[in-house]
Amino acid sequence: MSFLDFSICDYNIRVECTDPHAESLLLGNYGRLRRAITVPQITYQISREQGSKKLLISRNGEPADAADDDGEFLYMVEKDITIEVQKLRSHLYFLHAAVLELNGYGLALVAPSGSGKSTTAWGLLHHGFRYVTDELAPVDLRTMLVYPFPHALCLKTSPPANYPLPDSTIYTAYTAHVPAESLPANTTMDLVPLNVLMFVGFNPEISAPVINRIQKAEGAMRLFTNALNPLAHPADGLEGAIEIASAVRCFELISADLQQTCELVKSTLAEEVRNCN
Amino acid sequence: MPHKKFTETVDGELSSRASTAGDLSDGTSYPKRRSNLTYRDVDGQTVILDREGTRIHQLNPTASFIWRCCEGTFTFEQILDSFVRAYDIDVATAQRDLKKILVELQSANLLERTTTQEEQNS
Repeated sequence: MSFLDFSICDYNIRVECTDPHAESLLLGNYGRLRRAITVPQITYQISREQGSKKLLISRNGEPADAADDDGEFLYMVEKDITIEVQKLRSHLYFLHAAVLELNGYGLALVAPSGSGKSTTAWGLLHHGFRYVTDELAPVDLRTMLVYPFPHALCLKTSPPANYPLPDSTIYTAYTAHVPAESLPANTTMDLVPLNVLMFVGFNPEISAPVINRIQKAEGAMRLFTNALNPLAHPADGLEGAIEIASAVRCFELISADLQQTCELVKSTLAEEVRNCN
Repeated sequence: MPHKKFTETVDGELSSRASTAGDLSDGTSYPKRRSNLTYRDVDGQTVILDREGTRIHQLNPTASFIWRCCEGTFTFEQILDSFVRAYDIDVATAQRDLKKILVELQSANLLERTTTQEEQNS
């Protein structure tokens, strides 16, 4: 049996795994988060169902759920961890977002699944940004700092040819997972200040990407619709969304060609940094 | 709660719709915000969360002004008077825009069923 210990939002997790293939999937997805822990607050048991290809996932000895394939396995593990962390760290405002950092400034790419958020993040990692998190962005409303969760970057579509995926990419039926150790940029395990929000959409018909500054009210509204645990916060989460939108600069990003999009995002962030200084 | 997460913006420039709320302007009604909504002012605009309808709305400053007047104690004419004074516009323009905004608010299910003077007095 192998053990994988890691920590998310100061929350200790242990995964006990008896299946080598599952172990390799988990290492690929969470390897960057590994750290020595003393007492796990949650323990997962992973095994292969006897006589079957299914992988079994059990939390703290409870009855196991079964995953039919690698994609479902990673999805189920990720979903369960996400929910458990939200329960235990309910004071944090969890956003469905990717967060990157450039010269100490944090950029959150916020969007529902399938909007190009992770592809844009993948591109930006080739342009000097450091990786903080993908999919799950826990924000401390008191400090506006984002907790790192640098698991594998998950893409639902192949990026353009000029931004190829590394050989270590894990492919499932529906997704590609790029281990954090294989990203073209460093990851950070430090809390990162949240300075800029970009709400990402993709329009294949436009010739050039567009960034528009948006007002706080619209930013709050869009943030709220991407909040993962709004009900854990006052006013059903509306105040948290307003607090964040009021504390940072909000933009709408309509992405197009990935390289142009990345250059526009970088120059916009640089402009905001100059304005702040 | 499953969310149908989309947004609406209500503003005074929206094209008029067939009024299903003509009674809002007949002088006997008292437009009133729904009591089970969560809303906050953000730099003069209003963000409204309707959990029952699983929607979130954003009102521009003009619509926000009208929204704040919908306390259930003012008639259309009284709100119109405030609107004219606050925005220094002519009555005809204000009346047209106020009707549009109230129709939009009601269409978005942000107002209570209109109360009448009789109900107010009871």
